[in-house]
Order: sequence, then C-alpha cells, then structure tokens
Amino acid sequence: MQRTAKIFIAAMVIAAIAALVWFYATVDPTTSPIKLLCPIKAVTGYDCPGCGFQRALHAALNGRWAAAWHYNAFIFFLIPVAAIYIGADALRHRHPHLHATLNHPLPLILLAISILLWWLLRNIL
Amino acid sequence: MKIWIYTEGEQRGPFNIDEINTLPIAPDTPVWHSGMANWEPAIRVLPAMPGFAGFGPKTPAEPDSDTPETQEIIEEVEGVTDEVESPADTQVEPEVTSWQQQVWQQQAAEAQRTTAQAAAQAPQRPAAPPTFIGWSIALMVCCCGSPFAIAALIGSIVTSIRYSQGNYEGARKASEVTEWLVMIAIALSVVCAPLWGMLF
Repeated sequence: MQRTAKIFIAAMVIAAIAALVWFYATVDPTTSPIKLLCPIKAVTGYDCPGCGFQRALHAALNGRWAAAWHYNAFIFFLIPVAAIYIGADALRHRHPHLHATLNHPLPLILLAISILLWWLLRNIL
Repeated sequence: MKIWIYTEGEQRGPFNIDEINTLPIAPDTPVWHSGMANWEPAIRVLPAMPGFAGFGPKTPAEPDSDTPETQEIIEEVEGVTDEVESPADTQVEPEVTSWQQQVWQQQAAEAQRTTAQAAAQAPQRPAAPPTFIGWSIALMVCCCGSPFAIAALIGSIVTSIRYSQGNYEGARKASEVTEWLVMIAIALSVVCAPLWGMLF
C-alpha cells in the first residue's frame, strides 16, 4: 500500500473515532427517542456481552464512571485488551515474539471463557 | 543377544543390548552380533542408539517416520538371535580391516552432510496468519455487529489452534473467514451508526 493511502486511511479512522466520541459524549442513549437495538437482545431478550456499551460510553465521556461501570463493567477490561491486541498486530514486525505470545491458543481461549462467563453472569445476576 | 564392538583397535564384548546403550559408540564404530555376515557401522546395526539422532538415512522433515523402522530392525535383529540361539554365538567374528573403517567413516560424514543439506532445504514454518482477535473483541461492543463479532472470536481461536498444531493451510483459511466476519461486523456497525444519527 502506498504511503499516502495509508495516511488517508489513518486520517479517516481518527476522524471516525473523533466523530463517535463527540456523538456519544453529546447524545444520551437512555433519553434519546431512538434506541439502537442489539440483534441478540432483540431476538433472545438477553443482554449480549457488549450491551450497555453506548450508555456506558456516554456516562464515561461525561465523567460518570460509576454509571459507566453499572451499564457495562466488562468494557473496562475488553477495550484495553482489544487495544493491546490491535497494537500488537500493528507492531508485529518490531515485536514478533509479543505478537506470537498474545496469539497463542491459550490466551485466546482464556479471553473467550472470560467473555462467556461475563455473558452468563450479567444475565443471571 | 550378544554384541561385539570394535574400538581403539580392539574387539570388545560380548555386551547385551542394555549395556550397549551405555557405551561410547560412534555412528561409524564397527559392530557385530551373531547372525551377521560382516561387521557393520553402528549406525546401521543400532540405529536407535541415543546419540545417533541426525545420522543415517533419517530426514529432518519427517523426524517421526524412522521410529517404526527402527523398531522393525530391532525386532528383526532379536528374532534372528532367537532363532539361531547358541550355535550362532560360536560363530567366528570376521576381521575388521582399516579400509572398512575408513569407508564407514566416509559414509557417516556423507550422511551428516546430507542431513545438513536437507535441513537447509526443509520448508520454513510459514508466518502465523492474523487472528483478528483484537477486532473481534472490539466489535463485540458494537451491537449491530455483535453476532458476527462472536463468530469472528471463534474464528480467531480456530486460526490460532490450527497454526499451533502445524495445520498452516487450515489456519490460513480460518484466518480468511475471520477477516470476512470482522469486515461484516464493521460494515453493520458503520451502517447502524448513521441510521441512529439520522433518526435522532
């Protein structure tokens, strides 16, 4: 890929993230008339692992951390982990060993088990 | 089974198979046991010796393939001894000549060279295909794409497990499927977000 194309894509991604941050900071999902329904919740009636993320993000961007924790506590774990993995992907050539360790089956399976446990617990408790 | 070896200019023996394993035997050390017509290098008679890994007709690409063969040879050797039993033990060992030893040394050196060449030519372990695990779990919070994100998470794990088991082709395919699932999840999230904004 060409350098200019890379810079263009990076700029688009940053702009999209900025737009999302602005959007979720100003719009409160709990009071807005339109609800973006999760397909899993719409079909099964149960929360998915990510449900509550929009409300949590709005609360966090307005400094209400306790409320964010209440809406979806798991994102405080999931988002940093996702950032680490995407970062490790980007720095794969510089840190091949880190990338290989993170992408071994064991950490991936542990991650899946933690997501599954969170999914079960949030619907049981 | 009684085995004789020829080291430091003299014959030593008889040893049984357990004692042989504790002796300092080189791949080209002449070895003879009852039932054999001539002395032969140890690598041919005792290919299962612990120190012989990397010698002989083994190829590094298929390290497991020589195990049954080795067992076969040992069984064969033991079978021969059982059949002939004591008369064979009285058999006179043929003389070891220095030229024979030289030939065996050359053969051992050649075998070593071949092994090194094969190791250099052996196919390299391909780079691990991307697992997309970071994207899978990041997209899990995007509600519209969450079913695909969960499928992508499973795809990531399948990719990683297949690669760790040496199924490189399978890992590559799983990685491709995972990439598609991630793309669909992103597309659904991107489609959902403006809809949400428009209606608001």
